[in-house]
Amino acid sequence: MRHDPDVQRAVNSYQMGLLRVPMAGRSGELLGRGTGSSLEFQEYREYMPGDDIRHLDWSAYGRSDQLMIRLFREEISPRTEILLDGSRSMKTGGNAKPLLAKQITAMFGLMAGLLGGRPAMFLIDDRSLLESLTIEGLDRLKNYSFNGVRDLGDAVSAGAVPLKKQSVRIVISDFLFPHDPQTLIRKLASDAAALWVIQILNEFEQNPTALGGRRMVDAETEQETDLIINPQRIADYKTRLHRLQSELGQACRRAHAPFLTVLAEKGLLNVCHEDFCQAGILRVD
Amino acid sequence: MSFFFANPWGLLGLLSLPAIVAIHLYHHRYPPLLVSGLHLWGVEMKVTTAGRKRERLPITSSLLLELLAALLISLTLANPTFGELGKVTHLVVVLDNSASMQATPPDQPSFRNQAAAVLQERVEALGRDAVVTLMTTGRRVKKLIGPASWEDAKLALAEWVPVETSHDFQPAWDRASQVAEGNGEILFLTDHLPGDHVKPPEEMEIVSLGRKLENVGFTSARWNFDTETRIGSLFMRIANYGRTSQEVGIRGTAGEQELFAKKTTLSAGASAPIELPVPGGIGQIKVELYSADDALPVDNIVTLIEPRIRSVKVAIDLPEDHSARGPLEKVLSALRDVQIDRSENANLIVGPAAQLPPSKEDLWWLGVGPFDPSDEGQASAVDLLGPYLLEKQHPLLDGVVLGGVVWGGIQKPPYDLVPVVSAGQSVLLGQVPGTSTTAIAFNLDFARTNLAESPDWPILMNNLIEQRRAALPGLGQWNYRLNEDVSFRLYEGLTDPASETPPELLLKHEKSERPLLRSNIVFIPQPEETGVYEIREGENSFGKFAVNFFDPVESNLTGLTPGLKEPAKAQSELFALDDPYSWLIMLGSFLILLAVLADWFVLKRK
Repeated sequence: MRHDPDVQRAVNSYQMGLLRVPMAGRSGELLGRGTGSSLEFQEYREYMPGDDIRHLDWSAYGRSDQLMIRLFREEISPRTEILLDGSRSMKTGGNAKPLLAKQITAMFGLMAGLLGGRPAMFLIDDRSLLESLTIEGLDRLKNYSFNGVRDLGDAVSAGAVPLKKQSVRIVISDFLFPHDPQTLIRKLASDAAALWVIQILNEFEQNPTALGGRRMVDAETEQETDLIINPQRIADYKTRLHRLQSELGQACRRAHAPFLTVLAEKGLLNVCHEDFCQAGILRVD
Repeated sequence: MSFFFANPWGLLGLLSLPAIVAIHLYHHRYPPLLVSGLHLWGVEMKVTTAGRKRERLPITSSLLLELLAALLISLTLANPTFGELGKVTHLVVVLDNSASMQATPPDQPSFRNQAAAVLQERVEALGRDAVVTLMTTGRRVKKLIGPASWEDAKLALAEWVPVETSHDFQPAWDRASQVAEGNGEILFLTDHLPGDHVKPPEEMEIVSLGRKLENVGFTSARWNFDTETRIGSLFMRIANYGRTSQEVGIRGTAGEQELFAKKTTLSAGASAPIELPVPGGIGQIKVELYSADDALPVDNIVTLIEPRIRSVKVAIDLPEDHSARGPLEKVLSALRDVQIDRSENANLIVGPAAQLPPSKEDLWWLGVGPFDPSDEGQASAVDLLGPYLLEKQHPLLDGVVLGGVVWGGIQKPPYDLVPVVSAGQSVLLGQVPGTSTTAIAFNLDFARTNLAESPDWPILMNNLIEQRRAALPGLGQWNYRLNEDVSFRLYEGLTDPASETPPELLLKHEKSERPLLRSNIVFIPQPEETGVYEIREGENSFGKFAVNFFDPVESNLTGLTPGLKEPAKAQSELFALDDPYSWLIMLGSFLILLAVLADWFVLKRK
């Protein structure tokens, strides 16, 4: 996935919008490519309305009568953990959803690597102890098949994911498994410097259409049931989905973590431009 | 009570049950759709054993309803039957409708009432649920009722009066066999066992209630009337059908007035004629016969209607010097009930054959030759001595032989004639076609024939007069035997003179009446009851006639014997009433519909 054109373009166009203030613990040890809130001065630029007034250089104003802003090097956490839900539900509805999940994983991995850190990417499936995927091993991600039946919550609770403190955690999942959002997010945010929660849904999961009678098969539990997918049933489904998203968003706000839902069919670049940038997860390089 | 399926093939429908189970177990009703988060679709999540591919049969409402519907359909098709529920004994009873069944033994009920009692015992023995069909023997087999409950049959039985003269029982037996075929028993109630030469149905039981009884009765009666003396004469014959001599009294009444009474002694098996004069104008006489030992009343009473005078009015429109006038006047004066009248009043006009009459339906015309009275015509006429060709079937020639008759003055007719008497190519006596008038022409010159001197002449003319009399409207006979056809002419010709608003024609008998079809000749087939009948045309009485019972066979009660003839073949078939399972089928159908609708509703909810 390192050489995926969309991933490459995204990595070249955007950089991670990490928090200026650490959530907890000591500050980051790595300096980012962009400006940030570190003490290392990087350069000046002209003041533009909206800039933080605290960064105005009054001395330079005295010398040149120009309002200048002091820009400092960005300070980021030294470790980034990317948790990719490897369960079967991530490959439902065609290829768009697993592709986007892989692309986002690779993109954040590469972006974190460019910042000088060594990102750890965990593919959460049924293995008891999950190995982390390095940037060099990103090519293995291309053929990942999403065959796990264990959901994300169970894997984290079981300690299968070797999470480290003060890391920036990016969690990529559809979150369409039975769980308590508050508990799950609390576990994911535990000891993390920052947490990003990204929900990937395909078009049918986001906006199902009336298909009539279908034998619904759950991708993970394999439970089957006959249903008539009609407007009433769709309305009920959407109510439950919105409730889930609302609870996830609420739990993320408590953990000072951004939460956003992206539509798989939009493609990586659109998601980066429309969703990630708007949420502050990415910014233009 | 045994239980069985009337249509066991319907149980094949039970094969649908495992089919439905298999469908629910293996068949994916809808196209599969792999989804994430099935719980968000409102489906309860459950834990399944990992790796397990086939689940247990889901006991769903849909499965249960479909199984129930299939089971009900199968059972409904199989028509479950509980033993003999809904089936009862069907007793087909043939009642001997002979008048002798009215005979009443001393100190005992009549054979008819005994038959009714036997029937009641038989039905009660079969159970109150048994159904009965009652039919009577006779020239026309009648079904009184049935299949019906005994309560209803009793009402029909109460109205049964056996009055028929002797007749064949076979048609009634055949009808009973047809009715009872496969679902009933046959019982024949009579007053004598059939002889060996008769072959009743093998499955029929015969119960005879008769016994030898004494009886006297009328064997015939008629009323003549002499128009000249205006005095009537009653001719009757009575017979003693018993085995002992009987003192017999006879009494004739007209209304409340006794006309005559006399007594006589009849030895066993003897008969005697009785002739009594009665004055004219009485109208109706009732003659009754009394005897100490008399078992059958129906042949003891005779009612007679006084005959009406039906004169034929004849007009002789011939010249005074016509050669036929003398012979005609002579023969007409000798015939009964003939009046010489004027042409406008006449029923029959006699005129010269050369002049055809007007066309009228109620006119009879006799033309007398010669056709051409001129000298040339007379000269060309021929005389014949036979042989003559007679249309023997023609009513005019009944008894006519024309032996030794010289038929003289034969000419060529100026119009067509349908031959009645002919010789060679010559028509001697013929009917004129193409006219509504009944026209007959003599190709004859009475001056050159000896026909008027031959014995055939009065016979021929009497036949003509009686034919004309028979064509007059009104009853031609007033006293009939029971089961004898009655007919009369309502009007002459084919056109009803009251065709615009014809009054209703009714036949009244005692308290009953029935309409008769208007036509020129009215036919009343075989009245079945004795007594006086009146024909009414609107408000007017058209005429009356009497029907009396005269049947020596039925009156002779010495051949009646009790007896029992068991059926040769077992007869235990049961009669199926209206399907008692129809409500079960309806209930089953309702439940099937309910189950299918519920199944549909359950599936829709999913």
